[in-house]
Amino acid sequence: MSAQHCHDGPAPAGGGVPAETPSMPRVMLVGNPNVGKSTLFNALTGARQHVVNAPGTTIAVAEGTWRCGTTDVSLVDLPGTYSLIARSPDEQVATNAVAGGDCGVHVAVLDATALSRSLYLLAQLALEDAPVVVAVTMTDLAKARGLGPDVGALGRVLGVPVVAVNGRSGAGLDALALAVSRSLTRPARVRGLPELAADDAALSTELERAQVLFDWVERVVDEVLPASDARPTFSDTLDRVLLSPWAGIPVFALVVWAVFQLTTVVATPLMDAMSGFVDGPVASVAGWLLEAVSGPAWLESFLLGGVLAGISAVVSFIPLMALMFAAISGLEASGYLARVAVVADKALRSIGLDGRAMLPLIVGFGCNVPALSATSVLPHARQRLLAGMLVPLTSCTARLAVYLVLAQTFFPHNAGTVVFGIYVASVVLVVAGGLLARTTVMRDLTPQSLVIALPDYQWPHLRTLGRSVWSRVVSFVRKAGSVILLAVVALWVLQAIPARGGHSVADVPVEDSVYGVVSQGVAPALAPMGLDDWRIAASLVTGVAAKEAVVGALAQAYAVDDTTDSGAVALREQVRATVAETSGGHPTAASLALMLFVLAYMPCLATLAEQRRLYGGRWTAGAAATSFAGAYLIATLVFQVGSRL
Amino acid sequence: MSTEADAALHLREMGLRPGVIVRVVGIAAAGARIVAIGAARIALDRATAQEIEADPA
Repeated sequence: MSAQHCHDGPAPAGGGVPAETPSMPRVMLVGNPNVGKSTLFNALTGARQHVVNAPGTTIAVAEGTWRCGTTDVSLVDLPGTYSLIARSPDEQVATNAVAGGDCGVHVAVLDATALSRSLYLLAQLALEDAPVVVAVTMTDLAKARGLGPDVGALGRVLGVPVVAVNGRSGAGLDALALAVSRSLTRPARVRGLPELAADDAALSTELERAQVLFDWVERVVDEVLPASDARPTFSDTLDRVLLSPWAGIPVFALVVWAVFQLTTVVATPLMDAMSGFVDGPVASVAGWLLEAVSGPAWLESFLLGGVLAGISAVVSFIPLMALMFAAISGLEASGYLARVAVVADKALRSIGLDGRAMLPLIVGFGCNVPALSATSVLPHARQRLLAGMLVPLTSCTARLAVYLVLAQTFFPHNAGTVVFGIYVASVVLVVAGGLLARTTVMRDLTPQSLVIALPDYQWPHLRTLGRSVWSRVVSFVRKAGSVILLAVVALWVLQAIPARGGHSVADVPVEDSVYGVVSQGVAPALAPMGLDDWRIAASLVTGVAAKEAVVGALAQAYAVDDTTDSGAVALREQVRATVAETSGGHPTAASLALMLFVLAYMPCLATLAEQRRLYGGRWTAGAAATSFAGAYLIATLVFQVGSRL
Repeated sequence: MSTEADAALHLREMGLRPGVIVRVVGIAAAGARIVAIGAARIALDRATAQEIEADPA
């Protein structure tokens, strides 16, 4: 593997991707989705990479430094695309970057198992007069099917360097580095392409122009691929089950259930351990240090009760988030998510979307914010809008943290089943929301045809997976983490300011603080769902900032200082007693109502901000108001019916 | 570009081009077709698959 060099990237500016570092030549990876581009990128750049947004978009582009022969180059991993005639924002980023023309060499990554599809993109790249080096992936898979391309012949036909590479084993990477470094000084361009004059009357449509390229592709394919019929593969056999009309959906449900088990059974102890560490040893050391410097009492209360509580909320949430994203990224890399798009296609069609919308909706179960960015895979603006409005109804892991506490409190023997039920409710709400939108504000939405490539099944590459999860976690800590921290600190300030009772600042019982008084004003609105209590109201108000902070807010309202094991038990006891009282002896119905309300009453601030950025304030406010009304009605209905049963 | 022309172009870009040899390797949930073009596999929803004319080999 190539050496890795440190590189702090410049601020993004202009063009399709961040600006080039003046001293470093730029190399871009261009290819279809699922051709192993990211695995190759990781193998080439190692740890020296970072994710930046393409200018004016929320589309993440990975950029890194690659030691290419004797020179460092800036390597950019463009979003996968089948064509430079862009249909989605993702594809537009790739198209703009190629048209930008500030790239030293384009590495066209061709999939040996789908050569004709890959060569079409190469032909478009060549039309841009771009200097090209070709990297061919999946050659082993193609060979296993009796359809391995002749890499040498491909090089002779194309007239540019062609290297077979394997990002997993590292095979061919040195040869690729050599070819790229040579091309930087002596750029080679694809030859043999027909001229395509823009004003050619015979080629008036995109289709006719494309046909000229398809003809060229066919000629190349004839020269480099053996004429043999493809053998049925392991993936074909697996697909017969995983895509079948009878097993497809049950298997998908099973996979979802398994992911769910992972995020509950495995994540919960890890989350407890993380928060236990911050609230225990870290808090003790911080307290001891503060005592040593003997600052004012309010400062100690602020740092320990405000800042440290915020850090604890962020840190304890990391394992849940990391596990969820590891599961989603793993499923995507394995090739299974492409099948999910096929299996779920019909259901999504009923709400005006198609199978491709499944990816952002699934990511939503991890965190709504990246799920909104993931809608950029959808080609149509209206579809992106609808998917973006539905994403907040997918129950993110932050909400899961709330259900876990409530389910353990009120359903100690069936906690898992109850939480699973809330997830089913989340799916039902997504469908209901889609149907509502389609019959009201989005009557013009017509489902598009679904034509998707099914990549071969493969084991996810652990290092690539690890990097992807790591970059998600870092991004979470940076963005959502700072929101959560601010929210918890703001909470402390509101709790420190007395509203009545003549207390002094930072020495006031919570119920007499501004926070407590406001919450007491909100609480009666929760009476129809059997939850007229100011502490519950307070935690829900806090939840608008960030759902991760709900449990912490509840604990603060009860003034349960430590959230160690005994603290958690004490919190559960107190919540149980409160709800038993507010629900008039029907805590089961009221707690179910509370969980459903938490599911849908309001997206967090980070989600609202991202929605506003992508779709504008009116759609964001409209969707949030509709969701709130729905959540209020459902929670009320559940309590009113449940308490009479 | 009209929606229809764009859909036709997209099919071709994905490898379903006039004259190409395809093999239906499976029928998935909701009537979607799984088609082999060489070593590549593509899934098409039922309605789209019905739009495509193919001669039996």
